[in-house]
Amino acid sequence: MTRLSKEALELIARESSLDDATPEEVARLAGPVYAALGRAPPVEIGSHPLPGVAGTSGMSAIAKGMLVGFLTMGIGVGGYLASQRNARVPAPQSPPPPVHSLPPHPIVAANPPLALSAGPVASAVPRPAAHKRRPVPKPQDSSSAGIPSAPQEEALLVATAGAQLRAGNAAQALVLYERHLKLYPRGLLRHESTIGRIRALCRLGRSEEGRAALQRLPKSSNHADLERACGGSR
Amino acid sequence: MTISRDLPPLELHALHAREATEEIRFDEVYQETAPVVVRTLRRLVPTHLVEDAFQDVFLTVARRLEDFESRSTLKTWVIGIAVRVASDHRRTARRAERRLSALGREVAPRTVTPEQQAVRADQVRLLHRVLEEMRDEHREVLVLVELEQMAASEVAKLLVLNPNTLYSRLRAARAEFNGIVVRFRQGEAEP
Repeated sequence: MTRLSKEALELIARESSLDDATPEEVARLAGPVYAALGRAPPVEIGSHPLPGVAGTSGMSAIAKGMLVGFLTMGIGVGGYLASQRNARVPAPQSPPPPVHSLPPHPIVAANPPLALSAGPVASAVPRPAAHKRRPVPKPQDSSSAGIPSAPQEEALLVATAGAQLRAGNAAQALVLYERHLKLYPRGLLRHESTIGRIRALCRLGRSEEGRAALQRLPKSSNHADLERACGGSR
Repeated sequence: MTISRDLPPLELHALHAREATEEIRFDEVYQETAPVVVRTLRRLVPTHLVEDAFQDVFLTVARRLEDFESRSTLKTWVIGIAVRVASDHRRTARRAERRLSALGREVAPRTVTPEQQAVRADQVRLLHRVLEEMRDEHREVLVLVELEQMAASEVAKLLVLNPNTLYSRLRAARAEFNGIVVRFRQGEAEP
């Protein structure tokens, strides 16, 4: 077997580590990628040591934890639904049906794009055509077009987010709360969702954002508790 | 386009949960593999193509993350995408260069002075210059096995090669790399 010469090995030893990306470079490169995906990069990118980079192992512990969390969430959702809608749920642990098998429904023209005008987290940048992602469910305005609100859907989202938060998956809870607020900016559970979002933000160490959101919230009995959760007011 | 209003709660929720989970999962994949993708692309494509290629890699990852079946490690899967994207970018760049050089011959001669060439060569590290000289198929194998320290069997799967083909390509790649290093050294030694 032909081997690399001493000179070649020396060259590799001397220069190969210069190809490593710094966290700043990784963070900078995230900008265009996430812009093309239609969302902002999470704050974690570039601000923490990157796990699993040096080694040749597969998923990081975080990724594994996240997958476990998803499975847990699936089971939780199944259980929740089983208690509410026995006839509908085929099996609690069954995976969600493939999206492409869901029957398409035309959009009702009178239904305005609510999230683009009303929601605080409604900055959904249109996805580029080249990036073929599953169509994102359109937000619904229960008050403007006479369409009945969807308390069950809301409840499911908020309940699942709460379960994630209690299970310690604050990142996943935050995504679900924000999704709920985006889809149902005037929903029945928006207050609960906002409170949950604040808790999730503070658990993720984003206390500044949490406190800012808390200040926008009308005073309630939860205020002191939330302030404590976010490390007190400044 | 579809609307989810008519979906029953389970499906709707599943849709939301899956999308949210995919977003989180993508973030994890990005954090875990972005450095190795940058490193690999720097070795496989010229510097000016790295950023575009990087973006293409992660857009592909976002599109296909659902299809990842854990038959390889996540890192291997993403590197496989990076290798293919790099190959596409090199091919496109070569085509563009050919067109430009054909045009350049007719319109204006290149006006790069020997001094400018020398400066440019100094700026590009020797390892990259050596890799740049290699045949594409040799460069891929050498980068993955010798620089990224991946197992030959893993590389064979990633490049969809018979193991024997991989080993013979690796032998040729090492010989080519050795030869180019010697040539560059001799070039440097000349007055």
